[in-house]
Amino acid sequence: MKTITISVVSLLMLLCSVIAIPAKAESPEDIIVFVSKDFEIDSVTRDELKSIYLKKKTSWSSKDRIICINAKEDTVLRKAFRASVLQMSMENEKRYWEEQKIKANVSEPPVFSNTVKAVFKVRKIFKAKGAISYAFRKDTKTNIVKTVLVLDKNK
Amino acid sequence: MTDNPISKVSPRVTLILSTILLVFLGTIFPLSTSQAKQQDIDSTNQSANESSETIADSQAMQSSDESELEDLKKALEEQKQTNEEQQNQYKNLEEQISELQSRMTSVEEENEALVDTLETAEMTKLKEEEYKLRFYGFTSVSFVKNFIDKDKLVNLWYRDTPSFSAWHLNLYLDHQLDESFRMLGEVYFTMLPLGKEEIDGLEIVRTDTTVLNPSSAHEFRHGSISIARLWIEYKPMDYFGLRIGRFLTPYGVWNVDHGSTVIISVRIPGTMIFNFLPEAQTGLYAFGRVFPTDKLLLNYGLTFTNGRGPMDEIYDLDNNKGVGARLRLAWEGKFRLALGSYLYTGEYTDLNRRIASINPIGFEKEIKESYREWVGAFDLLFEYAGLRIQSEFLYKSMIYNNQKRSLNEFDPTRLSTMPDHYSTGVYTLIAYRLPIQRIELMPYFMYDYIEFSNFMRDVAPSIFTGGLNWRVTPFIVWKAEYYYVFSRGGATDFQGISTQLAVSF
Repeated sequence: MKTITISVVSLLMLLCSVIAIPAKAESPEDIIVFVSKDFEIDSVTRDELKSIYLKKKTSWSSKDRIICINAKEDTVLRKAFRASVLQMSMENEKRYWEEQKIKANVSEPPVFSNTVKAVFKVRKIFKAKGAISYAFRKDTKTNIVKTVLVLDKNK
Repeated sequence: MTDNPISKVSPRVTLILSTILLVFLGTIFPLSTSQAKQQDIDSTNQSANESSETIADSQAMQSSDESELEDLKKALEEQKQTNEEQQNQYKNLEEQISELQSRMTSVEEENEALVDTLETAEMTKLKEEEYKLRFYGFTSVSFVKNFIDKDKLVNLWYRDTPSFSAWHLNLYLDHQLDESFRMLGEVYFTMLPLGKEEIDGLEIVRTDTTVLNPSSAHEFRHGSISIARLWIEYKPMDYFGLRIGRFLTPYGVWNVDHGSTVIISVRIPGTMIFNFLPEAQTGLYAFGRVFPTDKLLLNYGLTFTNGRGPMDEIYDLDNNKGVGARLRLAWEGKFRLALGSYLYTGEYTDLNRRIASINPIGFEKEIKESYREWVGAFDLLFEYAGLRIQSEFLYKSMIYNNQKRSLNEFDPTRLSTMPDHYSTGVYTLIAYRLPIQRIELMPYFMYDYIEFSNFMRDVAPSIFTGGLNWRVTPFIVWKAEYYYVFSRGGATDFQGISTQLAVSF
């Protein structure tokens, strides 16, 4: 009897685990891009964002220096951004930066654990307007940064 | 008419029966009445008894109730007391909870402040890192084995013994001085001029750099340090920057790529070996990049330098400057296509000075060699889905001045001088990064053709190279290749294998 009970309970648990609804994975569409609250940029295209994060474009049209901030390596956010904007694997990105170091003497963007606060602090502490970064929508306090629209191409 | 059995009975009988019935009823009625009365009396008695019992019981109950009441009262009192105590405890707990909550809020605030401080420190540290002097670079070690027939002219420049080689270390010193100013130096440690050979008549004289340390009597061979690059840059924005110093000539794909971990093959193209353009120049370089669209990049550059000379790194021996212009258009979408060009003109002058007179003091210059060169360099780069095609074409024209010509270095007898001539060089490299996960293998094929001079087409070599490039990690690259060199006249025919391990750090 005891055996049967244990078997039934185990079967039920197995059934539950099979049909359990998985936690919703963050999708690239949940990533938002933002700049300092008082910066004039309202939108960027995806290609422009890629150029920024590959350090091919280093200044805004307003002549402010672009300070792009990355999420920490191995985070879900960084992986999602790499896949949707850079369209590279992690290995390709590492190779790209190692080559750029020797070819163009350029190093990869700095990383911060809290990208929202990083943009805010760059403005507050270093008085630099041109910081840009990204985060998941649910983690973004929009009262300290300004969301920027990411367009697929120039209008 | 039916028979009624009762009508058959006589009235007498009826009377008798009725009487009996009446008597019977009369008898039993008083009996029952008396019984009833008796019962009543009994029940009354019983009731009375019961009542008396009840009264007794009631009295007993009453006394019991009273004691119960007392007990209840006591219990109620106790309950009241317990309630009061519990209320007091509850109140105390509420106060404690409130105090804990306020402490928790204060801890949370302290925590936030601490996180804020740590994040600020993290940012400040990264900012400091950005403005720190950085050291990085690359090096490589090689193995080469050439197969050369003994009667080939190419023996002047190449050897056929299998050899390992560890002859260079490139070190970068990179300093972002502030947001707009930057300094870069590239120092090149090498074992050269060890092994350099020069023709002296029929002798080939090799440079030996062995020296004896006088303090230890220890012999060793010294190398040298070369400053490959040294510039200071002002770049306030993408579309304008200015460099002053020694910089890599901005042409082609190969010269810009520059590092052995970045270059795909072991051997560099012939156009670079034979310096169709100077690898680096000293002077001014204005440059910029604009984005006509998000996928289109336009790079421009203008160079104004000492040009090419026997010591152009540090001094220009003539009044003429080398001038160059660079333009490169790149499309970076699903595929990458870049077309570039660099046009250059400059005057090369080599001279000796001598003191012509002492009083008054006078100097003379003797020009040994002087020519003007025009060079056009065109490059193409295409990348798509792992495929890479890169190609460069260079054309160079050399017109000598005032017959100041150098000896013809391609003439083993060293009796003739260099004529006015033009040179062409081209290479095409095709490489494909294999779509294997986690292993970055890239087989490649390259074809070079170098015509040093239009009057020496017979010795113009064509070089076929096939090899494999394996990027072991982002910092380590291993390459191996086979090459076959041949020319129309056969004087420069040979083949060989080489392998290289290149590391960036």
